Amino acid sequence: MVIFMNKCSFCGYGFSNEAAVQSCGGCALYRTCGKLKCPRCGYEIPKEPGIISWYKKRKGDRQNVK
Amino acid sequence: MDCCPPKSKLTFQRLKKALRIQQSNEKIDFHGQNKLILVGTPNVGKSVIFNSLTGAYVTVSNYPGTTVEVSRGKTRLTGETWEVVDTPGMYSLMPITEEERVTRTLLLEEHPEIVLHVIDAKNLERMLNFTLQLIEAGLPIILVINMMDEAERLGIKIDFKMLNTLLGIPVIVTSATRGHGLNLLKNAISEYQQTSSLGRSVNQYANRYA
Amino acid sequence: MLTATLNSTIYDANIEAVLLKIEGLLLTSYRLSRRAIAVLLLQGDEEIHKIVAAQDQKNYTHIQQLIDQTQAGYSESLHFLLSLQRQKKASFLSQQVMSTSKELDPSLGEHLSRLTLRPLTGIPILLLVIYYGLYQFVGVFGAGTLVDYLESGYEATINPWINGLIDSHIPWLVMQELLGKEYGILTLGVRYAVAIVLPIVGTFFIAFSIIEDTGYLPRLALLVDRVFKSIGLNGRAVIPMALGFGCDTMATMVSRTLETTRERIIATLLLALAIPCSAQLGVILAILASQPLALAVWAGFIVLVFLIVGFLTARLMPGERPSFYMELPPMRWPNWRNVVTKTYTRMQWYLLEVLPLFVLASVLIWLGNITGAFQQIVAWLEPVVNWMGLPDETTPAFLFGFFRRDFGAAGLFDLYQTGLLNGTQLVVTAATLTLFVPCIAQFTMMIKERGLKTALAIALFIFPFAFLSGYVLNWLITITGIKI
Repeated sequence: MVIFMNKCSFCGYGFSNEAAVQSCGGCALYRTCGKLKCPRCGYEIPKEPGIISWYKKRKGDRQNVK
Repeated sequence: MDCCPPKSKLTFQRLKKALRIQQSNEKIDFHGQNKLILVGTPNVGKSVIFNSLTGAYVTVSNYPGTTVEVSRGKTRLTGETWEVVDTPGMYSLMPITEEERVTRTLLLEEHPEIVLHVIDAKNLERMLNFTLQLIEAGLPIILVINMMDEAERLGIKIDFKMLNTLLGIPVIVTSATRGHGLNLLKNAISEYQQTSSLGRSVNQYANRYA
Repeated sequence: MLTATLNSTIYDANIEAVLLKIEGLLLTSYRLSRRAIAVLLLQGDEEIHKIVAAQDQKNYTHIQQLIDQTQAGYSESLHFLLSLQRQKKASFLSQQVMSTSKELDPSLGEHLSRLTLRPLTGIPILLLVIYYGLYQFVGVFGAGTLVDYLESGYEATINPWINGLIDSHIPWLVMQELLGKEYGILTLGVRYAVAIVLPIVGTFFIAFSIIEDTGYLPRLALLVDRVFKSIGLNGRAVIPMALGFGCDTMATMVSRTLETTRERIIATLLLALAIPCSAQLGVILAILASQPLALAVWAGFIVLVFLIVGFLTARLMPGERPSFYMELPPMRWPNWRNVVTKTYTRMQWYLLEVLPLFVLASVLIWLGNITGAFQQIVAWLEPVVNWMGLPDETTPAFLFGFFRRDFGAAGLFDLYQTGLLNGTQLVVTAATLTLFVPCIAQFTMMIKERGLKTALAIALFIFPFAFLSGYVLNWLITITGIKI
């Protein structure tokens, strides 16, 4: 099975989208802020825009489950 | 518990339940097959080891009641079937993230026969910290030092026999991506299983009384 | 051969003794060894504490006493201490079994990494990065060259063209003012966004993405943390959030760890004052770049504010994860594809946030204009602005700034271009703007977290405080006679 993992550009921690959601706690801006929060170090990265995901898929650039 | 969002309230209850043991030290719910759980930080090659043990039928599902994903597969070793479970990255027995919290609860709830602690040979020093915690906890540990080929390229050598003596647990060295050491690992798993069913307490720390 | 005999103790004699005592008090059988439970209790694991408190009620208070007594005997937190001692044991063990061959040359990456971490070499490196990356590229090139080009182009060609179209096609003055003329959507809102903010933020994001891709940031965090620690502060938590696009930093940090409502309010207030939002700060920084001395003063001011935040986090949030937990990813050459992707991602995110807000701001101003409210507020605010040593024309910039700091910064830039502000005034305005509540979104968050009344109270405190600080800064500069 293939699952999409994000890599925190600060600490290198790999996490799934769901894990990022958890680390947002009860933040009011969840869903509207467009960012993912690394569960390890709290660094926030903007979510990948559609164009880039599309481009990556075309190039077959996928990561396997940890 | 205003600190925890609703989801982890669920896992907390389960942690509570999982920590409790009834009177005897027998396995209460014998789940019919042996269980092996892999723990370790991310990027140490856990998934490669997991894949080399399991094969085609792997399921990835959420640990019940959480959004944490866990991979499960099966393997056959010397005539026995094992269930193999891969966990999200864990740095310590004291969790920071939700995933670590869930992994801890999982470790206890599923009471595995064996826990494989997979570490990166290049980072032995830092990762041994967690190994010590696991030994302290009385869990049935086998230490797997992976990515040995990369360490060797940097000129690092590890005397695993000595480490085995110092720690008192089996130590296996592997290069999972090259397939080295995997048979040794499988043997160690089978052997461990045999001897631990004889003596209940394989660890001096398990349930020490004052 | 499988009996685990860890043939020596892990922690110091004191701690080992306490562990034994606690183990004796744990009457329930747990699936983890008693010792592990004892260790987790000493380290302050919340979940375990709750469980033991419930299961071993009889002895829990005694256990808690033992823990407190033990903690009293040490200056560091037990959490940190135990991890540290365990790590020492781990290091000791690994030294006994590991050997490295002598002839190995540390690769360039590791060497560089070490250089960035030591304060002696790390701080100069940081200054270099800031000078070239931010000052030269973002400030001089971005805010200077690019913006000049775009702004003058916009004002020379697009504005007149739009106003021309409006004059010929739209009869009502009201409508004209909505879209064009002085504060219109197209002539002000969009112009600010596209000609001022966009080039600055674009260059900022490019520079940031390059730096980020090299893997420098966590090292920077550790460096700053070291410096902070040497003056007794705690930088650990603030840094990844601050360097990231940590707008919502505030709520998360605060709500997670603080106990009493009062503490949370105080922390929210103080953090709202100082919270860096890197994109917005980037704009202000770039604008100041044309006057190096102004930049230095502003930077010093901001550092002061940062230190205060660090001080607060140290006071209000004790018990941190020990420093060695962070795995540093190796340093590498930036990959142009990553940089492009990241820059694009950030720009899209930023524009999607900013453009609507700027347009909305224009509309609000337009409304304010029609109703005369805008002029009213400006009239009220002018004396305050003058009091800080600033000319009347700066007032609209502050009004913009209430709404969103980068909008205010863009207005500020406009003014500076037309030569209405001298260096001192530039710094004072910039500093005051920096202290405002970061943006509407954050304000909404405060409302959600603390309730409308508290949020309003906090905002009502912050704005006067910001102006006051501006006044103080102005006074300081005049007193010391620094010529900017």
